[in-house]
Amino acid sequence: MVHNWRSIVIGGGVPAVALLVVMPLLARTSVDVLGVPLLFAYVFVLFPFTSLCLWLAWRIDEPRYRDEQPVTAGRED
Amino acid sequence: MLPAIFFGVIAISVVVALAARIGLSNMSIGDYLVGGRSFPAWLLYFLAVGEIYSIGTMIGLPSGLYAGGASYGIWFVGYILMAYPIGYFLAPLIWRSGVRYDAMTVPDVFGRHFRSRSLEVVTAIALLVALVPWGQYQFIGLQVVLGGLGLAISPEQSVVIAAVIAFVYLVVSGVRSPAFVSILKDAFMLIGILVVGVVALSHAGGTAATFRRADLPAAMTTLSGSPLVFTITTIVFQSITFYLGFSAAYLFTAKSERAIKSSTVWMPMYMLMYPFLFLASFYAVAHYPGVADPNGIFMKVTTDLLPSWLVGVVAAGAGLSGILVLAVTALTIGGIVTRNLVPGVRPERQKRISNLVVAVFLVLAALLTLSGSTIMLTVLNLTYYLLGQLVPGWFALMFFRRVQGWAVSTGIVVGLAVSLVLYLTKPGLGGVNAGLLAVLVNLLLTFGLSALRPGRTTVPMCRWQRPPSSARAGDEPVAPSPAGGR
Repeated sequence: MVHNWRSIVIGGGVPAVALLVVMPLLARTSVDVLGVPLLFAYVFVLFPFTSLCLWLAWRIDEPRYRDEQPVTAGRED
Repeated sequence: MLPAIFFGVIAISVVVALAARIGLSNMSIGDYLVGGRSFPAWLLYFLAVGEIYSIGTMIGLPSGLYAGGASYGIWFVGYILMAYPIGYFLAPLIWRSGVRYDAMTVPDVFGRHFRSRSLEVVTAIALLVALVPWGQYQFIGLQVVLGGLGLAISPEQSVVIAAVIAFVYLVVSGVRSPAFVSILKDAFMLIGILVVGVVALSHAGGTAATFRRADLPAAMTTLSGSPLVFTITTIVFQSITFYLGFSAAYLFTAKSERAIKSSTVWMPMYMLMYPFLFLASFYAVAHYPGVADPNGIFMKVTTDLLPSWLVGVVAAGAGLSGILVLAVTALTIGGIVTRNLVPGVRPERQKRISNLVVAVFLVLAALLTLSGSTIMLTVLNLTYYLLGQLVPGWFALMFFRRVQGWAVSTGIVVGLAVSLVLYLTKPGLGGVNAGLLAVLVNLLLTFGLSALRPGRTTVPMCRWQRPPSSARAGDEPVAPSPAGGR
């Protein structure tokens, strides 16, 4: 099953850039957000943000998984 | 009051484990190891978060933050966060390989895909070596929790209690027990972490007072230089290893790729408990400077700030999370020994022998734990160094046609050796994660050797589609599977 490039960029690329590229840029500042150091506040915001990215990717991918057949395993003995 | 709540919850968990069996009169090895490949998305979600947010979350993260500051805290949450996008795309391929090869363990997949018995054995041994420190990690955490309660329980007794309960879970319902007990554990763990975090915050007098005390070193809240390199390389290495090294055992329980993908979408939301753990950890930094054994930090904050019945609730959540992971790890090892190391065990006998192996593993890991204690996150690093050696093999079977079994074996063996040497000698490496280096060596061997001496080709998982007729799986396929089986 070939993947959709749009879902890979949204679900994989965006979260990876947000954490591995943007986070190091913010890592040295002493700026606070509501009393929380920016580095921590940013990473905390990424938790729901990553879910949002995956949800958007799943909206793209979901139609391809609609007619998947269930399997059964190991019931023969 | 406190012991009553703690042991009461543990007792309820055993009842839940028993209830998980309802409707299954005769449990086959497939039910025992992979729940008959029947778990819907919601049950998979709980089994996954039960595995992922182990006792390391409540005990290991605060101790790492306390001792290592921002670099430990950020890599710990960063690698878990990064693992989900990777898992969203790769986990369905792992599950598909389980269906294709009728696999219940990772060595089943490796051995059958590359048609190599020696690779099957090498993979099995690599997993055994890697999972022993992981079991030890859970035991250390459990000791800390029980020790922090101020009960009259010796370390030996706490380890024995945990091992016995893990064993009982598995004997009654196999992999179903940890999945259902996980729901109970999540409730207690979430309540515990939220309450401790909020109380610590109000005692400290707000977020600014928690995180920005004048005497706090900059490394507690910022990252630069070699700690930043360590953080980034560790996130990359561990987030990939997370699914490809650890998670296959519970992924095989899913009933479909759809269940895996849709459950992964919401897993990062669970991480919203981490800010509360950060609050508790920074409270500890301010109020208990210079603690010799930082492993006990979270329990110390809990016992100091909360009434005793709430301490029981928190400890029950932490205790269950450790026992749960211990159970799943023991089950994985039981499956590997009976199916991949001891040749020719018939399916109907595999369950009984698995139970025996589970018991032996629990005793062994318990003895290792009692013989010496380490900072938890160091043990966690070792587990990942070793498990990471399975990553090149997974990449090969997912995406490449021309990789040879003997090359994968060589890569794993050399990779294990390199990671052990790097773990023991601890060279600086400019902060680069040692496990990542060992995996690079392994990758080079796996793909380089295969290119030098090409052999037969195999259809990779990303190109393989389940034929409509093979919509069943078991130990003795009625028709030969498309891959030939074993």
